Amino acid sequence: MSDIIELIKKKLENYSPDVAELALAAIKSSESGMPENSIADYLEKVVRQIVRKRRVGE
Amino acid sequence: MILRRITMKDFRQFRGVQKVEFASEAENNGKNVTVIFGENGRGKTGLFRAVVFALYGERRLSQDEEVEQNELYLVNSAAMEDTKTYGKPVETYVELIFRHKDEQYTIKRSLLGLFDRDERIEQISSVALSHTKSDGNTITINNPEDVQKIINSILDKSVKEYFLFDGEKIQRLTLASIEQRKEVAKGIKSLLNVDALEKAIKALQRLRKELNTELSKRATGEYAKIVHQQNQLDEKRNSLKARLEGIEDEYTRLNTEKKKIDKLLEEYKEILHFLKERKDAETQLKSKEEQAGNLLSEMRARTAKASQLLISSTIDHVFNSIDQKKQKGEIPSKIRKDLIERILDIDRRCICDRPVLPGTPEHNALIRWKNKVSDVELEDSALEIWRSLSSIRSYREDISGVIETLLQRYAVCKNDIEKLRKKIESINEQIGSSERKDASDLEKTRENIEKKQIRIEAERMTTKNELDTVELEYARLSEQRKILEKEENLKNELSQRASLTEDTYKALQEVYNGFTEEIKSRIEAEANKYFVQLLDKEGRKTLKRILVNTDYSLQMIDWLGKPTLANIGAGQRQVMSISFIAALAKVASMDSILEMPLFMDTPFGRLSYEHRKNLIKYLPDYCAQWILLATDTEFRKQEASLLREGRRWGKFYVLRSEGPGVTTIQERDIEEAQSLLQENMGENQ
Repeated sequence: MSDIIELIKKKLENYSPDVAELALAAIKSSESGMPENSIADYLEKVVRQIVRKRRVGE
Repeated sequence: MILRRITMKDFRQFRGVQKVEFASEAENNGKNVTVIFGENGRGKTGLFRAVVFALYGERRLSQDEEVEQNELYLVNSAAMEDTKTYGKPVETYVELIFRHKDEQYTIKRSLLGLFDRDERIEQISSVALSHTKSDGNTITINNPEDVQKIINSILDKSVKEYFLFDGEKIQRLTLASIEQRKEVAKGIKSLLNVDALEKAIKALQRLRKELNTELSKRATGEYAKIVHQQNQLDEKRNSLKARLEGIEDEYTRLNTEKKKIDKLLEEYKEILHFLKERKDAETQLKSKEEQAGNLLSEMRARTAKASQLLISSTIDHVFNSIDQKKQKGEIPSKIRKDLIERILDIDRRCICDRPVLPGTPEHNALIRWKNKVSDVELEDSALEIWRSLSSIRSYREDISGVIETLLQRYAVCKNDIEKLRKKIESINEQIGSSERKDASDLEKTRENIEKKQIRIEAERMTTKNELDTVELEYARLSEQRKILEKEENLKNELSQRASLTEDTYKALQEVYNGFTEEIKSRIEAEANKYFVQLLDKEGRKTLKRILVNTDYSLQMIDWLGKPTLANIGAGQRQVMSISFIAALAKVASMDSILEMPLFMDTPFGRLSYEHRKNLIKYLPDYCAQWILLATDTEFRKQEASLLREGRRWGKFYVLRSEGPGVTTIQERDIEEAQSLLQENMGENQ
């Protein structure tokens, strides 16, 4: 991850952990050079995991 | 990217195999400056071209604009002459070795040069990129598109001119068009890695839309209605944003056009009264030509019937002859011929019942009468002809008068046209050059541009208001949606997924907005720091600071706080561009030094000595590697001495001519520079 993304990571600390986790996953997959639709598909899986984790916790 | 070595074979002036090893901090004890010195025509630009060719496969540089495609050869001409003798094609190549993020890359592009009869042909034959990773494994890529993708990911083609540049052209970075600026902004974002953030936002936006569509299908009641409305608003917001972007572009384009016109109008000031006079004469001419055209059409319409004038004597003769008969009472006859024939041949009795038998005086008198009178049909026809001819004769008198008047008016009109044409011709002679003929249209074009801008400004306001309304409505619905979720205890997984995506999208958008503004401000602050250091005393008196716009284009603000980019000199523009590049490199590497070379071809030509001195003093610290291609008139013993004092000068090469079109590259000790440059100065004197 580049230095600039590290800076963004710091900025995301002001948001909820779920939001920060999803946002970071979005940035990391964007950096990997994947096309936009594949990133969206991948993010859907991440969202599903985060929500399920949260529901189990509740 | 740090350049390590370039090897060329039969490329441009470089006959045979020639190479340059570049100084870098890591390999030359902190020395990062390489000077390649050569008089004009020795091949400095050839070397610059070799780097651009190796990385991007580009044969042409921005400075080749006026050179025809078939006049630009990369294969060494002396080697090509040999092919005439031996008949074999010449294989030319450039191999560039560079380091990037602690991994090594070797890119090699080959070219074949041959003669087809007398025509010189050059074909790119191959490209190969070897990438040695940090674990020691090497992969080689030969597909040109894949090679380009990798090179662009290291140094995007759109910003290459920020790091590999021709000194004369660097100032152009401040004069880029909207399209160029867009490309450059894209490249800068890639360099700063902001493009990854943009892509992440777009992907989340896409996912949000998919989830909301699914949700609107599954949800019911008020909640479904809200989700559906939000989807619609989202579509509308995207289209409004795209429209707004288009409007902004158009507005900027018109502004640039207006500025160009203003500049031209300034030049035309001295001839403005001539232009006005010519414009009036042209308007009058147009109206007279229209008038002449109308007169001609009218005459044409009349003359279609005026052919009667050609047979007017015949018409008169026939008319008079019938008229005489009419006046004598012969036409129409007093007794009809068919009545006399009936008395003579059928009834044989007169209408008074007296018998009319052949041989009687009554019979003979009737036969004489019969011979005198005409046929009824003949009489009718003659009378009809008499009537027609009578009307033709009256029309004829009328038309000949009209045509005569029309002809007189046409002659006057033609005379006026001739006079006006002569007047315009004489004004044109006084105005002078034919290019200036367009000047009269400039004011009109400018007026039209201003009208368009007013219209666009109104459209921008409306679109922006519409967008604000949509944003507010979307936010209101989001709030309502959250309340509903809470009230109805909506905890299904899909709504939670949609909600998390929405929140993350908003969060990244906020981060992005703040971040790009922050980056821009930091670039601006750094650029100004460098600018103050590099600028000469004279410049500091008048120029205050560099302003970086949101599209990363630059503006210069003077001490009165007014934009003054259009008024600064080429040298100051150069210094301004270099300050921006150094700032960009610093911000992109988060306050360390970006691993990018500054490869400059003859950058000192337009700079004052103080500017040169400042560049030599500070630039080695601003960048990771500085490669300077310098000529004898810009790199003299004073500059060499300053550079040596800075202790960052690692390599020194001299380009030597070995005959027409053949240059060799010789490495020299830096200590030799002083004497060598003195010798060069001596030669020039």
